[in-house]
Amino acid sequence: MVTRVLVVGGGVSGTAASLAARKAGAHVHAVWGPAGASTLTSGALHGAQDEMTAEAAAVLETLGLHRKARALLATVAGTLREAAGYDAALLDLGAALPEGGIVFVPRSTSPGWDADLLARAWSETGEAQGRRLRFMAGGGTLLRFTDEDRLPDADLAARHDDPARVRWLADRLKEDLAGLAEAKAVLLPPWLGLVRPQAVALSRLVGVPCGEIMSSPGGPAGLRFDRHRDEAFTAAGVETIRGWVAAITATPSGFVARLEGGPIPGTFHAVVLATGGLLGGGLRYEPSEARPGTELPAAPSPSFRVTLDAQVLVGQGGHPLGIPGSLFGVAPESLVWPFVGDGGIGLDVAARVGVLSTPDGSVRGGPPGLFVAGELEADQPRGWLDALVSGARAGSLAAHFRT
Amino acid sequence: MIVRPAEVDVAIIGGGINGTGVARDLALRGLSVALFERNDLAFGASGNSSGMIHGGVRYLSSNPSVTEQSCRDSGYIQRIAPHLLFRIPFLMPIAAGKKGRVLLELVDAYFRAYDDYQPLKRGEPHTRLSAEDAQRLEPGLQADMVGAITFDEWGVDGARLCVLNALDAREHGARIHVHTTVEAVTKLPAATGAEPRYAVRGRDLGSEQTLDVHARAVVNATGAWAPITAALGALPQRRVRVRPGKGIHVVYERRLVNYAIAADTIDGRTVFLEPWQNVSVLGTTDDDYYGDLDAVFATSEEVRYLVQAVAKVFPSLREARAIGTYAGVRPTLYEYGPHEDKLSREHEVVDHEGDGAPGVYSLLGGKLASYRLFAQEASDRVAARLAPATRSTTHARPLPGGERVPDALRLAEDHDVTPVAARRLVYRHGNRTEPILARLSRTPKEREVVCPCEPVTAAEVRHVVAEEMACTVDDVARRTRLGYGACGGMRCAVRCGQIVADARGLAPREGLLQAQAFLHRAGRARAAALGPEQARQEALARAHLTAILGRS
Repeated sequence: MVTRVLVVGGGVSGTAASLAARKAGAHVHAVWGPAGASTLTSGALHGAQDEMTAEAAAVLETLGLHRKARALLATVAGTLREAAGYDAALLDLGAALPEGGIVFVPRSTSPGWDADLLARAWSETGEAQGRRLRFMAGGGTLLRFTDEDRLPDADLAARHDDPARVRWLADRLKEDLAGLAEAKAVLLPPWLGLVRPQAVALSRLVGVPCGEIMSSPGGPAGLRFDRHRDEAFTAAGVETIRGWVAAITATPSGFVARLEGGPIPGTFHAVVLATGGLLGGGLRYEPSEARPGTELPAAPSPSFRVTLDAQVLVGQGGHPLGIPGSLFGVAPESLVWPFVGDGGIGLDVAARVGVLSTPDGSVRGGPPGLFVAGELEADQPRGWLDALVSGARAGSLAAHFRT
Repeated sequence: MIVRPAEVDVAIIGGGINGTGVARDLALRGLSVALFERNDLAFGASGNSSGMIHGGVRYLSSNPSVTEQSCRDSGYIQRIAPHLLFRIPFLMPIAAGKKGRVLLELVDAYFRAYDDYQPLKRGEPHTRLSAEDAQRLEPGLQADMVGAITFDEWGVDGARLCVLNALDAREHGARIHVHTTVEAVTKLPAATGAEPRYAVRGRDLGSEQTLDVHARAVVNATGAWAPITAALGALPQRRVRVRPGKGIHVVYERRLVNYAIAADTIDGRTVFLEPWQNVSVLGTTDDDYYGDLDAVFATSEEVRYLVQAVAKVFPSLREARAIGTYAGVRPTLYEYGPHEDKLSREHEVVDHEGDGAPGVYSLLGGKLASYRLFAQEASDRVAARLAPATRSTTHARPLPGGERVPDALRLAEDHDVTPVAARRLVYRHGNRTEPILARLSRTPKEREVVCPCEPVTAAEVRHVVAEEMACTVDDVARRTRLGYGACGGMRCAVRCGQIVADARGLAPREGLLQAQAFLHRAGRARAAALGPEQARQEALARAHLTAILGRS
């Protein structure tokens, strides 16, 4: 009998779980609601995974993404970043210019693209100096129509889905490059296609590697991920349902799932929860003071909860969260701390909180057959590739699960 | 190369509202002024107030001269900077109960007395509302009321007020040195009978270069830092004492109320939730402060104390989205014994002639609402020695941009910007909006909206760097409210840093470091009031910032 698997969540971990489960021969339903963290990806893949499992590598390939140790990508902040992989539309400066050289940065009247400032900023970074990379701004005709200097990145990316537009852009770039013969690559704003990355086609036409910088949240890279996921699901035969899952219940005949709008028909042998963390919407920070109450808040409760109803334990450090010793929840200053990047500054809210799991990937304290993957899982490293590997593993386990 | 110290009439230490107010007053009288500010203009209490120049209504029963002073001076401020003031009507619900009816009569009578002072500041008289009327005007109220009182106050951006004073001073010859800390104030040797002169040594914190001036008078206008500054001049501490009072505010992402709602705290103080431009502000506390004046942050405890009070009458506040907090320290006049709330809010000019330093003055106490009067009194003292025939004109001459308030909608059409952007520009710059918009037409690239929450264009960022003494992303934010919105600077801080670095000829990396410093401070301030939606926003900011600034 074929195992019926339900995967809740359409981000990278949910997608990996669905595809891996399907590959292992299960009948897969994938459910997800609004866009989450993966749709907000910048196009760079991070993660602590030095070794990829076979299942995870297969998923990566299906999604049209490159895995490359120490790729070098440019960002809109004027920095150069290493990544463990990247969306195919991005330009890997390390691969394109292994000996160093000049990168051409075309100008545009688009307000969000200040080619001269960016070129100068990139050139002055330590990475550029170390690799003898130099960025030069020039030219100035990236936009074809007058309305385009008001369009957001994603809309411009959609216009480049048209092969004729790509040819037009290639002609403009070749003209610009005629006066800059030593340029070995072209670095462009995140506009190169929404349905599929056009960077490869553009590079072939222009004659030198062309690619994008990392986009901001809401940019085309995340939307391309969504597209690839949808195509991959169709090709693999994963059934998809759009909706917000309200509850997962274990019954003697299997798991039953209820959407906000009504039940999902049928029962499932195994369920993978991959609804994400705080950003994705799988976890919510909700101290009792944030709920209705007048002089005093409503009754005290743990400050974090999962956003669907299931038999799970929320915790961190291997322990479930208890009721805090305060009517108002824990002091938020204790939840957030500066995270450290290359001198990067920001706040990390409760980095480790999530659904507690057992060593075999199933949910701790939950019914057999319930698995968790991705950011929703407690105490796991958080990177795109980590989510991918954990999703692939959970999907495989779910597919092979026998009551 | 040895640079000869500049010779000025007056050296002013402190770039808050008092320091810049005095600088303006004296510069308008024709005296040469050098002002030193170790952080940025309005860094302290001046830039962290409730955003109102209120008429001091609570002093009516104890000290009506304070009320009259505040109302009169608020009237002058309204006249010299009309673009910078906006109405904030208050609504004070009176709880039902045994004493409810009597209290309503008393408060009504109290505000009837306050009505006499309202014309001084072009304010509206109070009204008395039934519970039903109050409920209708402010549907979010859920108090068991016997009735309510409304009264009228002016809202203002304190940092902009401060900057405009400094700008006017500079346009009349004053030299304003921001990010310059004073390291020593020494009396210069002089012949008997000669006028005393003082050497003020400053250090530019960016370039580490020293900056010396010789002045005939020195004004210590450093607010809560006043005792520290006095020590630099070897002045006795007991003469320059303040009792620092910390006050915090919580900012919510939109206007939650039509009126400013007054509410009572658990310990009998009155706090409020005010609609303020495009956000709401909840404030404030008043606690003795013993910490670092250069790094004052709100705590979640203080936030919870304020929320408790207002949620009692306006429960939906608990579900509103807080997007930040800010904190400042009041330089209240010193007194050992009384509770913070009971301390005097008056101001005092301390003349250090008795301490062997004639021509040196310290300014203690003061309120934003009567800054101009305080500055006038201080300037009169200084001018009595240096320019006796002059008078203050600060009550009559408009601040830069205050000459007239242009039509924002017309400007929006003429320069092809959104009405919101035009309206916000007119608020900040008044009559000086046109040159900024002209930049947009000259250089289309400057149309770029750097901060969508406000909105702030690249043109305005470059303008405040060029014309308003902004040196860092923090400074730009203080002048334009860039990065103070719901996104917490996630979208705009880095870009602002790039523009500031370019405008000032710094390396791009400097801009990035400034942006990081801004994000760090802002993030820390936001943590104290974290709620569900904002926690999600922090996660987004983390994902975004890690991607562009650091390893994951």
